[in-house]
Amino acid sequence: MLIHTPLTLKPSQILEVDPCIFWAEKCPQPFIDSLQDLGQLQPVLVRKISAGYSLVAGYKRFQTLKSLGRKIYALQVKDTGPWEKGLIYLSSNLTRMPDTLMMVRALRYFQPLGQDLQQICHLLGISRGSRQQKQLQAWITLPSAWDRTLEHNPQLLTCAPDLAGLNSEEQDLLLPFFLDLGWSLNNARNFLDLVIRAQKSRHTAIREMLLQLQLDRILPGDLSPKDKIRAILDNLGRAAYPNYFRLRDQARQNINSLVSGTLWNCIHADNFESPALELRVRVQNRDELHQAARQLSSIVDSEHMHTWPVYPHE
Amino acid sequence: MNDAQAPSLPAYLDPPRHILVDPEVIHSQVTARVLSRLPGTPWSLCRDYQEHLQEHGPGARILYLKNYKGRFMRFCPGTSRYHCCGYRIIHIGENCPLRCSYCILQAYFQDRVLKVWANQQDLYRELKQHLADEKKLFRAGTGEFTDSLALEAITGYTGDLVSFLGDYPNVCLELKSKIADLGWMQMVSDPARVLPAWSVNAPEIIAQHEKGSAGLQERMQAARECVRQGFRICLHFDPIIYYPGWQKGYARAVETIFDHVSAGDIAYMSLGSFRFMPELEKILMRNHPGADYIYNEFIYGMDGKKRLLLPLRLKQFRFLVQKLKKAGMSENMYFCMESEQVWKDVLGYTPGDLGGLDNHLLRLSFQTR
Repeated sequence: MLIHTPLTLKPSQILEVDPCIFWAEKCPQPFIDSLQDLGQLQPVLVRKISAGYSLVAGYKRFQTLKSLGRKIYALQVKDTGPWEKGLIYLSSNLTRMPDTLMMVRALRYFQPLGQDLQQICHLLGISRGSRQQKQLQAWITLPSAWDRTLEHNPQLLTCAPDLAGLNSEEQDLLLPFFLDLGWSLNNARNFLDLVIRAQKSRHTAIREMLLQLQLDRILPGDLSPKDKIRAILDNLGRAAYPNYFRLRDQARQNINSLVSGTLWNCIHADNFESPALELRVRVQNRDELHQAARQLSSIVDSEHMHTWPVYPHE
Repeated sequence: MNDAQAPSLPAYLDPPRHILVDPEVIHSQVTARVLSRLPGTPWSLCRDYQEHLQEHGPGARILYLKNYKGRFMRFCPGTSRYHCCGYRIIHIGENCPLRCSYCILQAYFQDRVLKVWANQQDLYRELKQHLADEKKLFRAGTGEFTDSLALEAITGYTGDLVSFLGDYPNVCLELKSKIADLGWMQMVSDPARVLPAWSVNAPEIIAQHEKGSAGLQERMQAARECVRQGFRICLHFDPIIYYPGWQKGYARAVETIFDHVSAGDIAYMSLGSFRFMPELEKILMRNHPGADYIYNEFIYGMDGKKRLLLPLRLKQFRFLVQKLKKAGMSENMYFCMESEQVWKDVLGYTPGDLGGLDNHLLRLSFQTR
């Protein structure tokens, strides 16, 4: 694939950067220092085009040498198709450990070229049939605008199968939520799950549902990002699980009336599968224990106990 | 026995693309029968199951006649903190050719290969040991990891089993199915010791979510035929699904049942709300995009499985139990995997009141008319 005749080119002779350079990134300072002090130790790869050359590999070296105004040592690649150019680029970068976003960029380059991606996955260190491979393949079906979300949260890749199940309008509607807010993986999954559940249970389109639940207003609002996430999940939860939230609100109110102003903490942890309550107290001395015991006795006799605070068999 | 030339396959049974046979069971009765009943299906000896699986893919329609080395007789796995019926499983194979959207086997097993334990002699040896004490009664069934009858047309397995168990009056065998195959009946020596059982559901649930199975009418016609032949039957409203218009659907189901049989023909009937291991959820969403019932209000139960929020379950249970009581059902109704409170609230009695659910069902299964 290579013409082994070394070339020494002026930066101006390299007229373009080929799209096969899918991992183009800014040059780090130590690299610039090294080029400055020791010079270019490895050639860049170029392809001949009509009036000059197109860069196929060596983006950082090219950018740095260009800014230093130095000549560029290059090897020429034979005129090949985009798949081969991509392979040359990837192979010349095999020493790099690709992160999630790099893998996505590589697969996005190769995927439309219509060949089996298995060879590329192998070069990227992705195991055949692995969950990671399935997630990456699902991710590259999303519009590339989604890739920005991976920059600050690569774990979002695990949401790819769910996101890929949405149509492009729905994906567009949800993208701002992921771009504007920093979701933990659990919250992101929960968000997607609740969006789909709420939509299905309301038999409505996601667009209408977002409007009905006023999620479009929460996003640009004044709340802190954490509170925005909380509010969004709460609204969606209430839409997807209306009966559960009604029971929960009622139980919380009853329980609060029961133990407010006491040392006791009371929780119901069975999702209304049972009426069980757990009462806990933390005491540090005998006096506090006496106090807790008196309070427990008054809790038992309280008017709020006339009806059991959590009564699932309503 | 039971080796008559097979008729063409029933509609629910797509012929397998390939049959794998463990070398140890190449001469077994089941293997001979399957190969003779599927003469056009290619088969090969299975020396490396995983290799074959890779070759055909995990979703391929393969029938695997296996030399099973595990325990044939087991307790129902049940679940913690809810009442289980204490049913004994006679394990005859895994997976099912029917395509019920909610089927837990999708999450239970890694592949969809239909497996039949073809070493029946080992099964019989183990059963002989378990059933040796004639005073000890057993209520057992084969419908836990597969449909009891869905492969009967090609394996004749149940016919063999009821014939073998004819010598053991201390076991009552329940055959739980969603199809109508009564080919095994001629092999039964005492109808009192076999309980043909059908899973029943609202007709629209059967039509939409139990693909390949018999309709409710067809199941109940088969049930009526069993009653005519002297059998008592069992019915299982399981899984009860919450969907728009469920009242109408389940009312029709109850009507259809009692158009065909009477309460006295039913040894026992269970009610179970749709519940599942959390792993099933995504599988179901992916494999059955039309199964919208999965988006209902399912919460984590006390056993870690997902189940419908209790007030919604109760609504359905109360509705059904009221209709069933009107039709003459009484203490032969029980809940599958519900808490004591649900029992008390809906049925008015608890497993404790009945002397324990497993004892109660054992008594009911050995009761004569």
